Amino acid sequence: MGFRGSSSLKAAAFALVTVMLAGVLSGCGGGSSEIKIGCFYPLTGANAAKGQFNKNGTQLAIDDINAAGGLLGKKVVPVYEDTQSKKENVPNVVRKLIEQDKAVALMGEVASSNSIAAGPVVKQLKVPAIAPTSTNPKVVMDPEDVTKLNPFYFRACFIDPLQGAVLANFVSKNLNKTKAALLYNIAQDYNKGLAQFFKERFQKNGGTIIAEETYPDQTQDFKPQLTKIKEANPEAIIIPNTYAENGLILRQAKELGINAIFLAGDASHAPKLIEIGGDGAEGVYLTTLYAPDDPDPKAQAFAKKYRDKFKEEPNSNACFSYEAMMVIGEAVKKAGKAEPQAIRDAMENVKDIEVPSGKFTMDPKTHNPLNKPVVVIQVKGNGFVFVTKVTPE
Amino acid sequence: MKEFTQQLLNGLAIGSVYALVAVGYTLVFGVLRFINFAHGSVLTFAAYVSLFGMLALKLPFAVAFGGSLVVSGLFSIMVERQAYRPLRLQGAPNLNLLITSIGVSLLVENAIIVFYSADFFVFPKVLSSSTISLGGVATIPPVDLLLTGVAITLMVLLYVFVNYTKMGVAIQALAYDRDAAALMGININLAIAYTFFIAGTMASAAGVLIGMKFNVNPYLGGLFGVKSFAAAVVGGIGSIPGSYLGGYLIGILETMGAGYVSSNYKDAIAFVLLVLILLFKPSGLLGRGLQEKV
Repeated sequence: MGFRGSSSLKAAAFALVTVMLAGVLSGCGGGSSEIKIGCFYPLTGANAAKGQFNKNGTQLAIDDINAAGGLLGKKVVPVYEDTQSKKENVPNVVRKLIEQDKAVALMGEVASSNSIAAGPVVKQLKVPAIAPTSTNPKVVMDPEDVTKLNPFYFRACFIDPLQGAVLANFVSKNLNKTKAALLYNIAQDYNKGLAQFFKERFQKNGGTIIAEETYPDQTQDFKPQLTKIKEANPEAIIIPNTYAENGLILRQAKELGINAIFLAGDASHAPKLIEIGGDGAEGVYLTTLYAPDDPDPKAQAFAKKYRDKFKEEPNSNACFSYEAMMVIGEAVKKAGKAEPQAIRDAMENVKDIEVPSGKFTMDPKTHNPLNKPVVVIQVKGNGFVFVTKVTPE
Repeated sequence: MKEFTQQLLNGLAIGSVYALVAVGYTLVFGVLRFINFAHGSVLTFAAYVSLFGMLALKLPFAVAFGGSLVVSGLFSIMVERQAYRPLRLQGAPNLNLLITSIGVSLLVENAIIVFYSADFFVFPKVLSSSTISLGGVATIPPVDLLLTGVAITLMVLLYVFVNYTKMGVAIQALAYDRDAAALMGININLAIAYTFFIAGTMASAAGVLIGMKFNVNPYLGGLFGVKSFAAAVVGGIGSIPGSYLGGYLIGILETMGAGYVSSNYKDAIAFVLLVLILLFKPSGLLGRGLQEKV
């Protein structure tokens, strides 16, 4: 027994040394012929279906950049890391990308809570990060003082106060409904924030919230909340949650015979929503960043390129990862060197670059892009159909 | 009244899940006197087995379901043989078994992530999605009927097995006093294997039906496992009717709590109940007090 114990200990020590050496060597390698972009995405776990779109969109942008000669004569190489859709994994993953892989800029995450968890690390290690699709306002804010910007965090998409307002206006003006109910995940900043912003605008429009129910992470049984909402008899039910939760909510609502109109945000824009929701998903409205059937020719061109490569319909995650990568590319060109601080400074001043959803200009005062339109889509048949596009003034 | 009836039905459906899983905790605790935390992962395992049977092997649902009951029962026996029996034969303290069971559950969860990805899977449509309306008062989806039906059928079968078969009586004897049972000529290892098989099939039935009712993901056994454990303790761990009582009690109380008090505290209700029971009636509602040396 003693002998076995000590030999397994030796093996473990040997393995540990090997792993550490491998880490050191890979840190040394790579060298100056490549520019490494670290991508921390949810490739497994609750947001996996979204993370895969982010990865594909990033890959498409990097292929385009390399086909056009790379950046500063160097090839761009992505380093993907999986956060497993868990907040607690984010700081380590981000640290690894910066310290071991020597990434000069970062992309990620999908969920706002997870991007917020990356905030302190990028600030401390001074490497710029851009969140392609995290819409909560706090993502680009300083983790210690939310009234100030995090100098190293940027974003490629619109923010939830805008998304919430568009959602509320759509319910009040386009659908002419005045009684709404909310059902959202109370453990996630995105869901909580979007619900709050919807509520504020909807009440300003003269609407009333007649039921507000919540649930924590990992919930699968929404029947108690939905039964209560059904009793309140709302005309519209707002579910600002992720696709996996909303799929179950929609299916269970159908089982309970709820007839109200359901509306959700960009986090539900994934085909899995329809797969999980089944018949229940039919007719749901979503606000999102991008729709492949948007009549805008630039949006259509991107959709075609994506379809040709990945044989599936792109969604907002794919498009906005593409745009975010293009923003990093532009910033590296502007900076003239692949050095994190210089890229950060240049990123603040990215102006008028052509992207699939229109023009991209970074607002240095907010670290958010200027005038990103909100797209409204609806689930019809087995897919998403473009309804309307709202451009903020 | 309409809302109350609906909430009661919601609670019964989810309570059936807790009851099916809780009975497995109780059975294993009864014979080995330790909490088998790997039990929740048998549930997850079963959901994947039946999903694999239907999607990859294109088996009809009944075959995939039946197959999963057997495979998961065998898997449960294998866990006992490979992980617990060596410790048991060395006379290791029960604490070691408990820690090992946590390790097994992590292993199963992560193995699923590696081989099957951590994404959510949707069960192929087996039952009609049109719900049964109870006179306009409440609705009940077919899967809930199946769930409750299976839970009650298995409860009756288990009752008959434990009280009217030789092996069932042997398991009871074992639960009463392991050494004395061995002296009376009972094959201890065989009886323990039977116990694990039954616990595994009960959890498997729950796993497949939860997979149909919700979706299938590697963390399925986590929250359901922990709540069912609470149900087993509330009902009286070691008591089979107790685990059913505990399961339905927690299912109905948390549903009513979410419906009439606040949905924020839904998940807390099971654990508040657990703490209250441990404070005021540590042996559980139907449990016998037992002299435990830990």
